[in-house]
Amino acid sequence: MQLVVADANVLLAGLIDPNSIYRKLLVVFAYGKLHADLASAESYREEIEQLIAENPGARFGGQPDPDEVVRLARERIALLDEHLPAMTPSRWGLVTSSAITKEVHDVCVGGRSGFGPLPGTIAQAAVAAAVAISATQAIQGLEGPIPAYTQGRDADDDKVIHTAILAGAEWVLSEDHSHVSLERRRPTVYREPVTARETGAIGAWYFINRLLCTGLHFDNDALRSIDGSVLTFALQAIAATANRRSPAALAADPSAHRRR
Amino acid sequence: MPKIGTSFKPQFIKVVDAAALLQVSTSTIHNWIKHDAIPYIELPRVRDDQRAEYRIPLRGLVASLHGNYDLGREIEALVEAARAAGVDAEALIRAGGGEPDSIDDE
Repeated sequence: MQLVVADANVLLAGLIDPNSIYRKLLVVFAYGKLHADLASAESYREEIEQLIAENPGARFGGQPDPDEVVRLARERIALLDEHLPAMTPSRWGLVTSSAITKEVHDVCVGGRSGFGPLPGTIAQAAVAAAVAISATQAIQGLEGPIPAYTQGRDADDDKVIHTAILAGAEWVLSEDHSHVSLERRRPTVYREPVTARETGAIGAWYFINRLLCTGLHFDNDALRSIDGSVLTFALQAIAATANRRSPAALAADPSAHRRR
Repeated sequence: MPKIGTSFKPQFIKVVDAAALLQVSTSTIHNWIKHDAIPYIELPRVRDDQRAEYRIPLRGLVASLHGNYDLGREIEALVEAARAAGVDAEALIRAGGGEPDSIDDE
């Protein structure tokens, strides 16, 4: 899977505008996330089977049942397959981190988006959607000092770039051509000083024309043909794993347990 | 029989580790196990009076934590808020100091 970090503005642009090219990119990322989920589900089932095989007398209990996880993952992909062009790539995975979701939240509630401060519930939904369509998260490593990748241009942008470094993401997708993706026709390369890991910041033009739409079967026209509303299907499918006895449901019952 | 505690891969975590990860008490984790709300492996007991011991698959634990969101509907609310304000993707990118690329190849 090829990992991409999208900055908060690219994420929000895709979330608010179903007709934009950014929304179509989010659909491609959501499709990649579902494929990553399937691979993870199959691995999960194998791990369970192996553990039980290694421990005679051990039994599996609780939810989600490993076979059910695999079945659900396949169903979700099939649901999107019905709405996407043939040969839509499934190898692109989005990475988020607390730094990016905080920026998404702050842009929504702070009114910098141009549509005024939004209610907290909508901001939370935007954050949840960004996390839901992400194939992975950069969990640790953003607490300490972060290298000044942008040489002081923007400390918040440094966190976005560092998210990519931590996750091993090859690309940072940003339309901020003043601070992050400085060249439109080639990547701006950032290098972590200790590990020498690199990531390339690019804009939508480079990502679409040089990376995403390069095959014979998936070109610009195929990308443009994606219906932005498919993201709604994808989000509903991703969040459909909830069950009646989910931990969230149990957490709503204060008599069921005590919180630390 | 393989020695319990040495043959597990790191994808399987103890109840105490699951509690620390999710910032809940170990009794909460036991409660979830009791209600079959999370996946778990109950290890075989060597003696009849031995307390049940569990291992929890990390992937399954995370998968079971999806809430009852209707993200599709909530994102539609976000779209409506932007539409009502007359803000589209390009305007948002510009408001954030960016410049939208034309995607047409040259």
